[in-house]
Amino acid sequence: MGAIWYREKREVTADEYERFFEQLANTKIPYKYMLHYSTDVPISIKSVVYIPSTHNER
Amino acid sequence: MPHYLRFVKGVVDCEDLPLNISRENYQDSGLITKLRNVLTRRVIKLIDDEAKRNADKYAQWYKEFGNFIKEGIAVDQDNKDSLFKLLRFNSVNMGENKSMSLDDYVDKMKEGQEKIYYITSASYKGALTSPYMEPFKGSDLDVLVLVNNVDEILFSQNSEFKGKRFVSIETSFDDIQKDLGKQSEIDSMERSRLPDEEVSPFCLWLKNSLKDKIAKVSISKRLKDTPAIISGNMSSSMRMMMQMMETQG
Repeated sequence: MGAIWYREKREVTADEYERFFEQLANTKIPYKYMLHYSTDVPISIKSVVYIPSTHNER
Repeated sequence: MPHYLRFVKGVVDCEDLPLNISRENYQDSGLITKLRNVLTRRVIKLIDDEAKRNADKYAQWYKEFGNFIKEGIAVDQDNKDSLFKLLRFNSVNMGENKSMSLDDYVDKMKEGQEKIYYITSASYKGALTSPYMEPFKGSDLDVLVLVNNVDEILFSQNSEFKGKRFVSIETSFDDIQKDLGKQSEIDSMERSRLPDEEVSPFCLWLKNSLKDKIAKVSISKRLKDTPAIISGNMSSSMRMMMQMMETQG
């Protein structure tokens, strides 16, 4: 899978986001919220950030 | 990412970062700090937006991750205010299964109400039957129910939200009465039918027999069904915490 955080938001499908999260977090549990965030100000950032729906700190 | 947001997963690419970074100088370079600040704010905003879009979905998530947010409030002074908005509480008027944010509470405040009232209790039901709740019965003043000790620590550490002070309903009654309005004052005047000659000796006796333990005895106007109540500057769970600390030395 390519670097989806470099691509335009509208070019990435929901399925690709899901698969990327599975790979990244090494889990089959779907994520809760997702943010594809790019900006140039104040610094140049290209990012895809996930908030999972569960955690294992108990 | 700051430590309390350790559950966040993702990829962040920043073209301004030098390609060859050795471990020690990337840890606290100014650029990394900037990057972290931007991302932290953005992630908090993401959660806030999603919470507004779908409250039920958020409530579910909050059950799992609420403690991370609370940790954030304790350690992250810069983002404290926006983190406070992410908190959810049960309240007396909303019922046990619905939660509200502090913004909701402030929106529903009565005109002139200046305090955010809360009660701490081990369980939601216990809070409703607490004698401290009595003055609120029959009024439309809402009270937040904190069933988690951590919540109270947050309240007492930060003392206010949007200029409204957090007030435990176990402490001073003066504020409560001001917000409840005159109506209840008249009610309670009619109710106190015991003549002064009988009341004062009783108060004296009570004070003398408990003089090591209490500072003063006063006639309470707040109660309807319960004969007496202990009130203090701290709430009962704070006192419990202090006891715990004492026993641990």
